[in-house]
Amino acid sequence: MHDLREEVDDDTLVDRFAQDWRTAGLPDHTLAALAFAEKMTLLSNKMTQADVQTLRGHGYSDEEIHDIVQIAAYFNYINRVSDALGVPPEDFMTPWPRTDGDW
Amino acid sequence: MASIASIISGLRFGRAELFNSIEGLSERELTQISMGDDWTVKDVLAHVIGWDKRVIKILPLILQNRVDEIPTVDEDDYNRQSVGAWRDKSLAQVQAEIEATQQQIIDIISRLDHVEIDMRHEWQGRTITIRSYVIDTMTEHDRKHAAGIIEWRKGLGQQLDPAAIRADLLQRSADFMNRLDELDDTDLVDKTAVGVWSIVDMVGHLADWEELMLRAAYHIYDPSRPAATPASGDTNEQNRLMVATRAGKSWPETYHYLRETQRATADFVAQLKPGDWKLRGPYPWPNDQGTLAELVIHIIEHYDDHQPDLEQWQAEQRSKRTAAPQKPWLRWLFDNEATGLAKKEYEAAIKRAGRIWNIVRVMSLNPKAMQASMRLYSAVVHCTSDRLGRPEREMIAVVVSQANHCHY
Repeated sequence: MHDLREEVDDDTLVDRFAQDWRTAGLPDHTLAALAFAEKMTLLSNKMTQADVQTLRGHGYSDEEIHDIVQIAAYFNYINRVSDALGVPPEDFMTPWPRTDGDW
Repeated sequence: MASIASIISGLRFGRAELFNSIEGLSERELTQISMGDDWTVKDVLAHVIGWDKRVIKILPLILQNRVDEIPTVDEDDYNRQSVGAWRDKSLAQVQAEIEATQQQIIDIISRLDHVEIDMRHEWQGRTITIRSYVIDTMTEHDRKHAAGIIEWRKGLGQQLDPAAIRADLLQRSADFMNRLDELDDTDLVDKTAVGVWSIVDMVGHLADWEELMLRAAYHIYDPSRPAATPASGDTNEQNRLMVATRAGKSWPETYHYLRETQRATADFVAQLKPGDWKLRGPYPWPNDQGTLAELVIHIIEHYDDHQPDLEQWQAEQRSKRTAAPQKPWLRWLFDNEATGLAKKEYEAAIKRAGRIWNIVRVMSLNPKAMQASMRLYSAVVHCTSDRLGRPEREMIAVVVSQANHCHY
């Protein structure tokens, strides 16, 4: 979240995003990428070519689709590392979710 | 035939008196307020159903001149059973049943002839006929209870204490707001903090309902103002609708909305004269009506419905925070232990982020893996393209972590 706050000037947008990204007023193509990442996380064995096609329909290049998948996959991986090794929240951090930090 | 018609009209008359006696009572008055003994009006109706059912059983025995076979019952036991059988059922179910049993009896009687109606039978040392039995057990019984209910209604609301209700309302509203003030940002994000709702959804729901009830109250107080009718008779549907309407509203907006609604309710209640509390009118849900006092009690009780959820959430969060592991489950390298590649990576982390995050540290036992992981991270996150800037890349990270319920 910290990274997001650093990258997005609009604090209200970040707050709304944290509450519910679907209703934060993001453009459709961004919502499509986020929905893709969420499906990948929750239902990875249900991914289909149509999911990729949807992203193309929103104007994403193949390189970008690749990156979307890699980012989502990376965070799925790192979330599991964190959960399985009991990584403690940073001392200034309330448990999930937080609004600071770049590692 | 005329005599049969008159018995049936007598039955209908008795039942109509009973129904008239409860006309206009609220669901709460019908189901929750004791009539002096343990019984509510709903219990009285259940008790009447019990006797209807006995009539349905006994009529054929009388007709067949088998009065000796009529089972004797202990009245108190029988009443307890009848009332108990309906305790967990809804008022609407009881009302439907009491109409059904009466209709069954009317059907039986309308098939009789006038000889059967007035045929004399000896039962328990007295002479009965179907006519006398039905008038006694049903028509007069219904009328007796109707009179009892009318008498009870005169006293209904006498024990109302507007000052106490008002104090209660203000207290409950303030208690709830105090609870909300203890929340912090992190409490507000969980979309399923209370069942399928976030805390924001729940607070919006409370405000919406209070506002709806307040509009109903305005209408009861001044019928020239519009009545508040919910869009749907289905409470769950109504709640879903309300929450959907509010989706996307920020926490400050929602909080402010509840506070403003509470203020409006308090202002309204403050100007009521003691007599106003007994004004009656429709409630903003189907098939119910009642006094302003009760409507205010509904508002109070609605806080009681939801505050426990909030308290439970806060208790859970508090215990999570205090129970959060302060150490990782594996050893990791402290700054002064790191050498070689690990040292290099720690330095890079400080350069990149100003500190070494625990998630980085936790990989320090295998510096090569740590390095590879951080490189992959940089390669996919620290770059930008036409439709996928840094913000969008960070958003993907947050959405994934949220879906995984992971604090990182």
